[in-house]
Amino acid sequence: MPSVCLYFQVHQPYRLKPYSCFQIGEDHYYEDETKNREILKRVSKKCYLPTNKLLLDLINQNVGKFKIAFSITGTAWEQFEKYEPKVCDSFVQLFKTGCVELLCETYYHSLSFKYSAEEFIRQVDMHRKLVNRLTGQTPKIFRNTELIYNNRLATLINTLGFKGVICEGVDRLLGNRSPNFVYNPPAIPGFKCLLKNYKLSDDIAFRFSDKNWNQFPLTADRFAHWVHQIAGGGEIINLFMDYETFGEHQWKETGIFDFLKNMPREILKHPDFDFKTPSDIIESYSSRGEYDVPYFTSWADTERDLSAWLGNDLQQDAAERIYQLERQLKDTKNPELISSWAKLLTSDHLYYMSTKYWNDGDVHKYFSPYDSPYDAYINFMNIAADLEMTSRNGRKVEVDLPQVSWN
Amino acid sequence: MLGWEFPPAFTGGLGVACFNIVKSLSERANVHLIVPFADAQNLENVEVTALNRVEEEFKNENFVREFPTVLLSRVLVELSAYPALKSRKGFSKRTESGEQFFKTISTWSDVSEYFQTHDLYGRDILERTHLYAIAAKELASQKEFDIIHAHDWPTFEAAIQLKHDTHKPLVLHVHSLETDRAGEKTRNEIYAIEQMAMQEADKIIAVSDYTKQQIAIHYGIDERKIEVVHNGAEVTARSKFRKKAGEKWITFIGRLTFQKGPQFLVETAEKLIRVYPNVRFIIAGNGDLLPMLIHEVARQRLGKYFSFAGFLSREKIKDLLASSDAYFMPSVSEPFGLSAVEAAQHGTASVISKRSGVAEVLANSLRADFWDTDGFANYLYAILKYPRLKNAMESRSHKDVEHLTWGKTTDKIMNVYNVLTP
Repeated sequence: MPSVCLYFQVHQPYRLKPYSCFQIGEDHYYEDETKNREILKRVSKKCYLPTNKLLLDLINQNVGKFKIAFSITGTAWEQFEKYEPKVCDSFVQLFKTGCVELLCETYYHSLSFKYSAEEFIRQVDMHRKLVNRLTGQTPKIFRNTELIYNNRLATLINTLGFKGVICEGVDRLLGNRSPNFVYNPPAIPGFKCLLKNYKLSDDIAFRFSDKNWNQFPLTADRFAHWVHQIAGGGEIINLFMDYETFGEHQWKETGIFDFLKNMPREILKHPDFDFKTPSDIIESYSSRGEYDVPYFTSWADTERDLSAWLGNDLQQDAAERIYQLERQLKDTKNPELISSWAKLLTSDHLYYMSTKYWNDGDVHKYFSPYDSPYDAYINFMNIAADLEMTSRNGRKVEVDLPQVSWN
Repeated sequence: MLGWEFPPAFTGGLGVACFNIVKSLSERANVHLIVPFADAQNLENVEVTALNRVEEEFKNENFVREFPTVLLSRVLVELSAYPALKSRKGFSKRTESGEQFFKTISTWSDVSEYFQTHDLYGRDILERTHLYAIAAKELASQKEFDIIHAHDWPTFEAAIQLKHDTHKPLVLHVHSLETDRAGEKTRNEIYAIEQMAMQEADKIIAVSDYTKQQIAIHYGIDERKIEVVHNGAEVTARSKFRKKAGEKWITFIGRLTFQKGPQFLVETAEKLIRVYPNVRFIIAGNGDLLPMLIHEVARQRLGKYFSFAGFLSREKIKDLLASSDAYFMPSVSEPFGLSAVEAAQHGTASVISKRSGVAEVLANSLRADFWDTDGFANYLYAILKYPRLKNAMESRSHKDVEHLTWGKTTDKIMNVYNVLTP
């Protein structure tokens, strides 16, 4: 009996205000409040609120047969609380249905796993507490920032008590095997990997409104037909995508909401199919072999590696710069300074510096608040200089920073 | 081909562009070039008539040509947009305006004599362009040609004249506009010459999309008549010269005129020095605002952060760029900005004005509005402070300009010709 596993990623970074060299040492508040509020309100209106409502209706209509999972970053949740609390309410309503699982990740949506085990564990712990506060449950499944994954990550989060992990189903690592089974990392038989079926996931997330796609326009019954074809050749179909796909990346006018509304019904028309959360999956299915990932993979771009965040010198320099400040910041024991620093670890800041496709203009550009990767780098480095100076002076940040509200 | 600046008589991009276009075009067409001043040329397929040498050339032809008598009589003007070439070593002395000027030209020998000085933008500029037009008309009447191609306003009177006499298609090549040089609200005599010629032209070649827009907005010309052809860049060997000083060099190359935004240069420098004092601004170029710039620098006691290099030869420019940490161009309005391309060729990171044509080809540059001196200072600071940024920009901007060749430029010019002469 094959199961469809839907997991949606919810994330908003703290975007930084334009910060010039003249502000270094003078101005210790880095967030662009206006822009953050504006974007958060816009995306809430276009995506979070209507999609939450639609999913709540679907869960109620299908009484226990339609289940989903979310991962919501700490930076996103903080901003919901600050700028649009009704989004929090609508998520809580979803959590109360018992058909929604909340996954765990790094609180700040960071690359900390690559740079600092200490900071990684701290952020996982912060996020675990957030999930616990929101759902009353201790999360069992981990998803790392942008599905960044390798064998070592599995080992570490296994020791942190997790039962399974979400990762990308990368062709070159799967070989001729299918992503539609549960696997385990080498030498950790009890731990499970859920691999994203990128083809079917991207049909919704990226190709849905592409008029040049030969399957355009995609309807729920055709999509369900593709899913049903997996019967006999797989046990699970993992559809993982950004939650902002609904209404923000794919606008309402594309018909994405109608698609989402009809999709569960069409899939459930086949009596052998059901929906399961990642935790249900690891209970119900056993591993069909080892998924060996010796190097970093992710769900980004066609390369499915770290090049979207660390592909050029600017990105590597900025990342090294900010992680080198860890000791100095933590030694201040000043929670406000540490929080300012941790918000700079959010991977988006590095993503804005990508020059990969910059000259052609594309998805990287669409998500960036900056005119160019250079602007992103310069702004970030200026801010890092101020943070370094401030923390060296042990000076307290003289502004009201939003409270971290997970305790 | 009607040109005004031509090496060795050039003050900036116009002369460089004209020379390279002629050189590259000569592989595809026969070019007869008329310029006010040049040395003896040895370019294949190019016949250069330089007015300063015209008498000498006619001597070899063993016949005497007539030249219609012209009485030049005008009130002298001062053009702020161009530096006086003859005053390389000092500043030109300003005399009272309103001074009258009379001269009778009645032979080719007189013409030659008149153009002996290669001061192309002297106070008699309007007489000079008028005499150039009469000479061009006489010379062209002896020649067979298919296209009239004229570079910038000093040749436009001649261009209109030739078009009326021969009814051949007229192509205007706009390297810069009076609205760039003197401010966008300018509506003076030169503006009138430009506009009249643009109305007469069959096609206008603009050196950038930016210039195309300026022509459409300020001159009321239909955009469909305007083709954008970006300048090329000579492939040059990189200079091996390296500065000895431990300070960082920020280089400005260009005429010190309103158009180039020298006031924003000083304002930026003052701001940058506050946060990054180990820096020197190298100013390469002359112009009517150079004295003002020096006074302003001195008044703000920034003298020790500045070096005024004057007008530099091509070789010296290469040495300078090779030693510069950043190239800075705060122009108020820059039709193209060839020296920013040269900076990129020498692997120098650029901070440039958004109002520039070169921004269209130099993606890997940092750009701010010309009045945004905070923005400029912040960008320069970043280049000096963050070596990875500097390195990334250096190698990437070099790639930006690799494909910019004069060959490609002339291919596009040939396309324009082919449309006009099927």
